[in-house]
Amino acid sequence: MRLDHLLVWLSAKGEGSWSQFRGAVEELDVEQGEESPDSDDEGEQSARGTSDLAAYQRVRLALQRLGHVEFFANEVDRRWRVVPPTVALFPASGGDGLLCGARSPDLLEALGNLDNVEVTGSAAPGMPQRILLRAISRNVVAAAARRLGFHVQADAPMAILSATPAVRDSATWYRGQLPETPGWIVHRFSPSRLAWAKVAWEDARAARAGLFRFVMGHQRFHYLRWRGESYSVPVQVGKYAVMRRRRDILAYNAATQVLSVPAACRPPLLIERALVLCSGFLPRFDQSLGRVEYASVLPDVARLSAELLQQEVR
Amino acid sequence: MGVRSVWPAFRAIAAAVHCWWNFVCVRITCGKLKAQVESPELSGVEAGAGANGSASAVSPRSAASLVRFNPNLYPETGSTQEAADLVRTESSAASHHAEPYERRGGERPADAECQSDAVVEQADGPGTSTRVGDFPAHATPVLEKADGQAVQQAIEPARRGDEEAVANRPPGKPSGSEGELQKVLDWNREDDARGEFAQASPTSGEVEESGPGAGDSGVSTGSPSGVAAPVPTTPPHNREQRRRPPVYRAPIGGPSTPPNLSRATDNASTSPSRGRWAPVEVRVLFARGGYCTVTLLPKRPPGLRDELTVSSDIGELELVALADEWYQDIAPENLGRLLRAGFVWTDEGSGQEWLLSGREVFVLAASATHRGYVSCPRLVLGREHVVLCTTSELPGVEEVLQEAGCPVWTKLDEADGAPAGWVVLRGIVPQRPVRPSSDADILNILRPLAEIEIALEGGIRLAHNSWLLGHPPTIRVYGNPEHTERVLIDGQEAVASKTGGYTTPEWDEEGGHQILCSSTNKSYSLVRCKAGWRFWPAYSFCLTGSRGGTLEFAFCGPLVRPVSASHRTNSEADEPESIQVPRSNPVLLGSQPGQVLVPNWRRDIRSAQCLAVPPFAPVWALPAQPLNCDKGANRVLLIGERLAVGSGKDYRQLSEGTRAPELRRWCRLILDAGRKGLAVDPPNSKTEQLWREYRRYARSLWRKFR
Repeated sequence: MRLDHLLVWLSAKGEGSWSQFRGAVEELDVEQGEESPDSDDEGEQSARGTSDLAAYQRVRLALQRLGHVEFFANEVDRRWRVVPPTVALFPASGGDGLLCGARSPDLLEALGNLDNVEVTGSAAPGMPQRILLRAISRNVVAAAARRLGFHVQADAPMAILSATPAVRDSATWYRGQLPETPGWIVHRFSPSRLAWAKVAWEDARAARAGLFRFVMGHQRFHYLRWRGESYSVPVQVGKYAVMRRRRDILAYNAATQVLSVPAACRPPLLIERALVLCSGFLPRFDQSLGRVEYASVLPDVARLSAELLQQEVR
Repeated sequence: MGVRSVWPAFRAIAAAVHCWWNFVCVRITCGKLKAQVESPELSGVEAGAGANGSASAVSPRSAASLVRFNPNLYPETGSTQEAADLVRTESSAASHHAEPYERRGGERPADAECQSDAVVEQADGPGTSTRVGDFPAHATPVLEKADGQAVQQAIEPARRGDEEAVANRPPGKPSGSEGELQKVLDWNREDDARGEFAQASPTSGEVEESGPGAGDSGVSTGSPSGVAAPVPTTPPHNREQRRRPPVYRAPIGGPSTPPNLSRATDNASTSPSRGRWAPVEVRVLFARGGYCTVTLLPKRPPGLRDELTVSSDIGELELVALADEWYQDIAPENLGRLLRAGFVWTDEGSGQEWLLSGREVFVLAASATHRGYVSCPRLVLGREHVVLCTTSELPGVEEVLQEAGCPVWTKLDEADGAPAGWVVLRGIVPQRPVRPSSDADILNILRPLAEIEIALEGGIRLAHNSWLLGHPPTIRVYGNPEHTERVLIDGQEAVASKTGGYTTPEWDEEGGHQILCSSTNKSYSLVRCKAGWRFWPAYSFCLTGSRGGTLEFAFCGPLVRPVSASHRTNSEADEPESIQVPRSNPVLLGSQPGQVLVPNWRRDIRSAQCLAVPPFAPVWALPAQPLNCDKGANRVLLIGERLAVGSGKDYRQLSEGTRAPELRRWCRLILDAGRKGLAVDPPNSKTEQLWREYRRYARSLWRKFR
């Protein structure tokens, strides 16, 4: 319940600073949920294969992936802002929609009073309750949601993927300058081993291509070297950008509709959000395989994700 | 009449003259003292003591000290009594502020600590020396010359007026008879001699530790515990950097004052940071499997940067902001030693210091601002605590906990995550108050006081004392149940639920509420969540279109919208919804003739859908070239609501205007799809009927404008 409380608190506040968010996570004693590895842009992975991310970072990532709250986005640098209440319609279902964004006690009560729409909540570790709206058709769900003032996004996963740039679309990268002050520890991402290796600063500067990580204290920056130029990119984008088209990164089981990726290669935020919104649940970590699994992913969504990630689907 | 017969009369006259002279001198002295107290130009310790109104400057010992070292003021014994009386009278008002803290005997506010510390220093250290230095170097203690009667006259008021001082006298110190009083004087003289010795020793801003009984053990120093904490004598901004961490001073027993329970929970907002000193709390987090983590939680004073590097004995440490009032907790490797010895961290840039007084027992309580348990002043009845103690203190700790009625607790040692040499005791819930020990015993913090407090716990707190409607706090009353009378919420008697929270029928309604219990009150308010959420572009990207130009989209959670002028101007206007256009059916038709849209596609990704925001409500999606498409694979898709064609108006009411090309195109696409014989999707009679109406309407219109 604590993550639900946090989401209600965030909804009541609307927006705020990172400090306020961390304070709320502390005050509301938000549960940790199951530890699953996150990409190492956020924290080092321990030997156990799980992340040593702080609790509030895990909460942030969960809320971000589920499309409830946006952090550090365009207009909210070092801040957060809640997403308006939205019903994200599932791609192939007859009339299922997922509640995303802001929640309030009044709003949840109004949802419960809707005619012709069944509202069900499912608890899962590490995330707020998944609230599902179900009716005989998506139009009924959409109409009911609009009556309550909700936004509606039809076929949310496909919509997000269709507007997301591919990982090698250099037009969406920001040019950056490699840090030149002394004291930085530099790592280079090895696409073949899917791991970071320590290199000299001069190697990063001389490289024509590659993803580099600069670490000093708690500061951590990622730079993509591409055709001799430096770009500042999210680490997930950088990893897939430098990775060759391979068949062993993305694995899709059409029968179970599960798409999986190695834990070290989570997709970029928007692509991952699309995959998460296929089911409304956070991905499951398969410790034996070391892979993160996304459930209820339709073939079209898997195909489009692979195309954006410049990878083959196994 | 001989000399022998005149001599008594002469002595009587001389004594009367001396009395008068002494009276005048004492008045002058008191006036001087008063002026010193009130003077803003007072320097160093004197200023501190005077400003704080401490009792030290007016303690009997100090009075006696004044008497003995000023031959001009108190040349004869008869004046000593008056001097002591007058000085005490002068001091009684000044010491009034220090009295409550003396009675508390336990924790004390920071300013009180400052007062007491200044007092001690004035009594034993530089303060005394400064005062002594005011007197002539050749001054001789007058009382040493006095006869026995005069001595008794001098001492008697002091004994009458300061029984506490005598009572607190160290064992073996004399009292009662004249001879004993003489010994008292000797004892006082010895103490003053210690004061002189202290004066002779250099002081460099670092205060010598003075444990219980050190220095003036018999006379109240104004310190609540009788023990001085090592507080620098100079103002924080002037003093040198500390070279030694402070040592925690245990509280002593005595009449209790209400414990500030909220310090454990609300310390984020109330914990005072004295000048440039900020506290470092201890925090314990419990993980699954009975494992615990002990960390240090530095307070973040207002105005300090998010990230700091502080210097300490163990090297440099990085502090990163956790919240507005706290830095992220850290776990140094040698935490056990740090907890025992205390430490000082310094930010060289701002001069800010963080202190933790070393001790062997810590009490922690569940925090309202942090996960886990955070250090608090002492145990409180009925509340769950964690006790962190050294292994050497463990037997004593457990004994006191049993006295306090703690039923059971769990012991976690080094193997479970406790610092080296320390033990974590979990599940401490004291059930009965225990009288604190009269001496400065660290275990006094484990002896809960019999008091109550109204606590507001849980719920969703939006501001200081306002909670979200629907998520009110749980109202609890902690402390001794015998002290708990009726609990009233908004004047109505509240009843305790099974979980211990107090409620009334209207306690969780919107608005402000007042809680009253045994002269303690608290207020809270419940506010409604204001819905003002709008779409806003969290991320936006420009993509290249298949027909040239750019496609710009904005994301906000699961929402995807084409970027419009309102986004660029940061307008709060709601955006129209986008729809996905399947690649096989890229032509959108509305219910009104002329409503045709062929959206632009992104060029780089083959399998991507096309997102479009048509300026009309689309009903159908058709193949791009209906006559040339594969009839078996393509359909006429119903993608919107089943809107009646032409909004139910007759086609004859339409006039051919400037939109004639769109009208013709709309008609032609429908007619071509009909000629091709494309099936509709979804394939049901309603959809087929609607499609037939559209075809009929388009045919009629085509004929009209042909």
